Amino acid sequence: MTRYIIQVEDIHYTYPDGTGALRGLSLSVAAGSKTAVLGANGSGKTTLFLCLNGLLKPQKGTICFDGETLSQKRQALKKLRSRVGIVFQDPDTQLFSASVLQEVAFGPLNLGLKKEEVLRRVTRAMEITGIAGLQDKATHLLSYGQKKRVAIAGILAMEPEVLICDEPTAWLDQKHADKIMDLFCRINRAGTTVIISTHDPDLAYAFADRIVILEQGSVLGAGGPEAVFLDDDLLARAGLRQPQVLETYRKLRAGGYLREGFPLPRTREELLQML
Amino acid sequence: MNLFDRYANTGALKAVHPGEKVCFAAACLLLALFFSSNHVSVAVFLIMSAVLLGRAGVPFRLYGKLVLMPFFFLIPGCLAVALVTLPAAGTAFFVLPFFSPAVGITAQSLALAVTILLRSLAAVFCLYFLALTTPFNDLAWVMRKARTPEAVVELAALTYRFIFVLADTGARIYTAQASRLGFTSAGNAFKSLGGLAAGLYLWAYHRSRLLTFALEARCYHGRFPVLDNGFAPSAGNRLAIAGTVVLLTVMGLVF
Repeated sequence: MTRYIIQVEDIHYTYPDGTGALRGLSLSVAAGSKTAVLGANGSGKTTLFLCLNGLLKPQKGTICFDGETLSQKRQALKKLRSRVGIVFQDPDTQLFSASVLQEVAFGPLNLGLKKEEVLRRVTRAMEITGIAGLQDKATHLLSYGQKKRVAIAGILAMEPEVLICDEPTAWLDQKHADKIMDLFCRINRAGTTVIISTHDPDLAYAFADRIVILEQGSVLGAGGPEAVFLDDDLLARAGLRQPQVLETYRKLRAGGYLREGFPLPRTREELLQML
Repeated sequence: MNLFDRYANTGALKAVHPGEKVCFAAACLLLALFFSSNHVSVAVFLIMSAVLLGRAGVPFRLYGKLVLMPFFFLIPGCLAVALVTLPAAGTAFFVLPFFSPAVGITAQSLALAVTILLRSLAAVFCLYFLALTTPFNDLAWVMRKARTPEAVVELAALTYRFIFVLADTGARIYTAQASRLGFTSAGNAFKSLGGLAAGLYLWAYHRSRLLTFALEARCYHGRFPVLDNGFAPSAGNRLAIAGTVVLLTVMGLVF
């Protein structure tokens, strides 16, 4: 039986200015999975993530984490936040320490760990994200890509069970975006559940094993990447285009240009192999 | 601001124990203020200049600017001290026309103004030294070691970080306005400036909310913990500081 680490049941959230960000949203995230939440700007992705971390409290509905209903008690929240890490879209909102080392150490120190353990985690997180050489730099002297990686390292160092990342590749160049997605895959293989939000179908298709499409604060459709992206009707309603790899595959297959005996290609490389 | 910070973070003295740097700057500052002697002030100014140019690797051009900068407030300030109402004619060597009672500069008031000027210059250079060699993190570390209340250190740390965030946003808003001809005439320049100030305020408010989220998401519970930096103390530096203190004290007592 699948163990669901996050179960969201019919949550509603309306901002104080009257914007209804979440309207009866339900979803489940299996432990150890890679989920991509797809949706246009303003579809509620960020609000959903803030709720999953207990930063916003839904006005209606329940969120269960690892089978337990989320409570707003201090201790419960602290425990939740030590198990669910969230990387914000704009690293400038997240980085507040003056130096990279202190920034990455902030989370683990808050967990009350010993200094050696903190250092071990910080060093490891900085190695994984490739920022080990920056540890004494001031955060405001970093480039955007570096800031993004520092923000991710700061969460990884807390070793959460679930890593949530809001628009991980926004404003990054291709090379750094690839590196970050590769990083997420590695973290996932090591056992961490990864949830990302994006509006790029190609990215979602290549990365995730589960796709959730949000529209206006509720789930329009969800399922495995093949099922979702082969559903032309769903894509049309969501205003999404098919991932390029899949679209090309279908055209080529219809024309009989592809060798048989391969599963559905997820990446460009897999598609090219079939030619 | 940014310039100072860049030097503090990249300069040759970054690796020196921050406690030593703070002690050096604080000792020189206190001695210059305490003795209020021209000799000591000049000595502090020269020592700081030598350290900044010689060891901290501050380029000569920047040094020149640093010397000139304080004069913007020192000249008007010292003029106000130098100009006094004259008790009787003849004591002053410079008298302003058209004033009654007479206003002018006497030998005493000039001496006082010079003393204040030199003392201020010495004090400013002590702070220059600190600002150009010690990154804020290290300073915060020293503050903690000196048992400064946690709230003060944190307030300082957040203020420091947000100066850059705010300056950055201000610059971005300015660019956005300028690219749409927001500063082409005096009229619309004022209007744009108003928009910039309002935008900056709203934005800062929004940012503080996001920061709260970011802190809470990482289990913040009212305290900013830090890792120890592990600086190595240097006997040579301590000796040099002690030597400077003795030298300045002797100068202050003799002259």
